[in-house]
Amino acid sequence: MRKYHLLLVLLLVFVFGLSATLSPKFEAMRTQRPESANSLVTMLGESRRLFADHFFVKADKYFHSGYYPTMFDDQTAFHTPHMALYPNVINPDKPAPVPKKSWFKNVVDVNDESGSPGQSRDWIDEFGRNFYPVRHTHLDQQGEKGDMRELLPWLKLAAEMDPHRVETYVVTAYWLRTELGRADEAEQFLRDGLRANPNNCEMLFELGRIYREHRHEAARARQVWELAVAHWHETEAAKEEPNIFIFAQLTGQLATLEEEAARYPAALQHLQALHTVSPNGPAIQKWIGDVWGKLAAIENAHPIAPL
Amino acid sequence: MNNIFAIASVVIREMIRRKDFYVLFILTALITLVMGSVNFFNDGKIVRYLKEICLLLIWISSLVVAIGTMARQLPSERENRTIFPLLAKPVSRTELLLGKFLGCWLACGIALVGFYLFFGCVAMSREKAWPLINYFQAAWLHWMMLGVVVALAMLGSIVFSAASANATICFVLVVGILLLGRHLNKVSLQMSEPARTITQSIYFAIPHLEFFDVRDLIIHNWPPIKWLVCVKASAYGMLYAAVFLASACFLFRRKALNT
Repeated sequence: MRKYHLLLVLLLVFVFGLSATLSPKFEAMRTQRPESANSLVTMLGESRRLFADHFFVKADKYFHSGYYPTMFDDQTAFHTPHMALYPNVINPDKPAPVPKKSWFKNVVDVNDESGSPGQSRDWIDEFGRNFYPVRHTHLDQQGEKGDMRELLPWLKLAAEMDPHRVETYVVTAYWLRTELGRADEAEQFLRDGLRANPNNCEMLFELGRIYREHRHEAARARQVWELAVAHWHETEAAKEEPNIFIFAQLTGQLATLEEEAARYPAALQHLQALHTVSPNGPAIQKWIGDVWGKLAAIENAHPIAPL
Repeated sequence: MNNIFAIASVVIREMIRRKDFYVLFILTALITLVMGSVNFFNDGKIVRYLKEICLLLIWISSLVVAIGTMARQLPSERENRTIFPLLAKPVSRTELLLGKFLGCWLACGIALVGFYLFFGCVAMSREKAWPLINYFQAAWLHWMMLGVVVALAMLGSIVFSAASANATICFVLVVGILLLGRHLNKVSLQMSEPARTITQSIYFAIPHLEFFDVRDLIIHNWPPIKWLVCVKASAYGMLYAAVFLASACFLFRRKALNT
């Protein structure tokens, strides 16, 4: 009996020692990763990025009402999530990334952009198409009003799994404010994203659009976009391949804002910046000409008196 | 025929007595309700993710019920030695197998009715719609698929000595077919001979259980499938179930029961 008591005491001492050893280590791990307060995120570690990608793609599958190529199909038509093309998160002019290893290069494309499922290979393939979606549709066009809400759970999960994935925040905020009319939730979500990714240009751009298009607060939109442009110059300009797409959108929106407020010199300044990066040079040049014209008209109407 | 129904009713009563179905149903309901209680951007009408989770749980649960119930039928009869008095009565071995199959299949059908009623209630609570035809087709095709699985598990219970081995192999086969069956032909195109011919032979030989999986159509509110397609799929499933049953009967008639 005494032996068992001693054994029990020994076990208690061992457990106490083990907890005293491990506790500081866990505490150190917690301080190293301040954002991973979520126990699920802590448990998954770095693999959570894979899950985030999966959930993002899942949302895009919902955008297509279940029509989506599997890993065994040709995915070239889906190299960019279509739901992310509307919010201008991804540059549609950018060439598609070529897969390093084309496993199924000889396979007939069953998921082409035209919406036709392509030629069936055999009777099993033909018959099997009755049991899963084979028509390419987009939920915002073919679905009922408000159907875009169905993407939200997967996007929220993707953001929780990888808070540094900027596209998730921008895409979610875009659909929340445009299709679902939930500008408050969109702003809140973007602010959550900005806490994890301070001064991110894409998120600031989207936040500015909420202020301008939904709150009609041009001054706040201008502030946010100017902050984004300043941050772009700090972080992106020096890069070998800077994100010109977002810079062009920011300067374009700022120029429009200044033109509407009849602040033509500021508008011209943004247009000059836009002209340096835009592939659409003649159109921007014409825009600059128009603004110069408006500026000249004001100066003619109110000539500055000579000193 | 009476013997077959008598044995089938015993199997159904056994499933009602056992706790497997109840546990799986409660788990399915609990997980679905917990997932349904999650708040996404203060929008209470989001439903498709819930339908997807609920249907996935229903599929997993139904496979566990079907394979679990069928895989232990004959081994338990042999272990308890109740098979001898059973066969001493005017019941042939074929009738015994058919009775067991019918009982398991009907039991799965009863379980599916419960599951799909729950699914319908969950979907209706958010969508305010009850697409009965779609749900009926989904449940019917699901039941047809379970018929093939039950017949496969029955064949396995004669080939393999242990119920656990049979259940595991059946699970691996069924999940493998559901995930990869549709794509084997595409994969084979990238192979060299003789692997290509072997893979293509497997592709054409296996029962394509994915025919019966219409979850994506249900989740995303696509229109119902054509009835003729439903009938063809049912005939396809019954044909494979019949092949497995016939093979099981053939092997069982030659099998010594006391080993």
